[in-house]
Amino acid sequence: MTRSLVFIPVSFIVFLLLQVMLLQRIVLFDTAFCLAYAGFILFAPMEISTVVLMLMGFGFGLSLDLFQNSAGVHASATVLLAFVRNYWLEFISPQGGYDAAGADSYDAHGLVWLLTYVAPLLLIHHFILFYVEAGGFHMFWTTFGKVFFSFLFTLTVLLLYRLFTGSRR
Amino acid sequence: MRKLFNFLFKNRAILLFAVLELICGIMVVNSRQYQQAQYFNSSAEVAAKILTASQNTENYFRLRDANLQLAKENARLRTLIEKLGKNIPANTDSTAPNPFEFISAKVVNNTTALFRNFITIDKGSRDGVKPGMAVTGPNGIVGKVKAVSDSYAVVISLLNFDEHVSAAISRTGNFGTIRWDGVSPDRIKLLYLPRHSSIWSGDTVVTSGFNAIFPPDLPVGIVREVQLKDNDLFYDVSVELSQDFSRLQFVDVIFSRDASQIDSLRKIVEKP
Repeated sequence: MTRSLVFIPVSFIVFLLLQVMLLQRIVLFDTAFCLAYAGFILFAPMEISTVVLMLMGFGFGLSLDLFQNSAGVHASATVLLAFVRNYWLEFISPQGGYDAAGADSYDAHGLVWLLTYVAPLLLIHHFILFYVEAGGFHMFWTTFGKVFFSFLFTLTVLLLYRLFTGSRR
Repeated sequence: MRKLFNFLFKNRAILLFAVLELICGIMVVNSRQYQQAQYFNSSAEVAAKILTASQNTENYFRLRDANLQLAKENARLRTLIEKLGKNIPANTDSTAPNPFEFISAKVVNNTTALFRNFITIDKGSRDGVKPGMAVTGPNGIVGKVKAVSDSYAVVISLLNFDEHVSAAISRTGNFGTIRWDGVSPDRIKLLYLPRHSSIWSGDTVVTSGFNAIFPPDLPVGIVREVQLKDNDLFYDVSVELSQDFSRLQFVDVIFSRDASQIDSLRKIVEKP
């Protein structure tokens, strides 16, 4: 628990600054955004309860919205991501349950597990984010293109990030 | 009562989820209403300072680009002076105030790939910037000020679903409304141009000056595609923006002396 108390504020600031100062400025072909800040929720310690996780997501989403003048858009997506995360973790838990060691156990189950964990959650997050930003489905295919290509971009960046930083065990 | 608390506690995750999403929804809807004063935005000091820090690094790498743009604008303005120089009447009233004044500002943050894009600039209420003022770039109009803090302001970009500006075809004077369709950051739509008017591909689109915010005849873009189906009342016009929004580094905020007078007059007239 004390570990989380330090880990969460630090990763909040790191993910936020990284997103605002660097990643937000990289948009490939006007369609592919890098929304790697989702890693703040995805790779938060496993033992965090859904309620706390949602409050974290709400705070983080609103902070990001402040920079993009998009009040509520990022927040709605991160809150949903935080709500679904623990249920999904439980659903795909390997036999015998997770190691109670903490955050690093995201890398203990191999790349395939990591992909099944990250990909659907990321897709949900991106889907909500871009359709809320568009304000509905009236630009369905343009928005869908943004969802899909941003999903691929973010997924690649997040997996690379885990490969380089995750294997500290 | 106890049962109720038990129920609430058991379902606290779902309840909190619903409450938080509701708050988000209200914020999204509120922030999109133009009249609504917006407090939650990137003109907030801390946010704007962080954005400035990262923009400064980027600007450094684009100095050449900025120089080139400024040189081009200089040349354009010189030609304009040359043209006007011969037409200025001898007895100009020097006491008559210039109806429009320009304040230069640096772009601190700018997006072009979203559906609702905003630009943050480094001039705020301390420099006289107020919500509703027009903003123009070196090559064409950029948007309107939406919210201000002490030393920063948020501009609602032309590349934003919620932004409408009155514009006219320079050759004929026929006017319509420009609004972005969200497809490409260098194209914008000219709406409500009636089918009896004449329009050619290559026509210049300028601000109409009907709204007192934008001075008349500022460049907007050039007509690239014109379509008119048999049953349509209006043309479907695609305009190539003359301002490249992705390269925006400096803008001018336009301070209109007459705006408040025109506004109050209009309010009196529009009252039944």
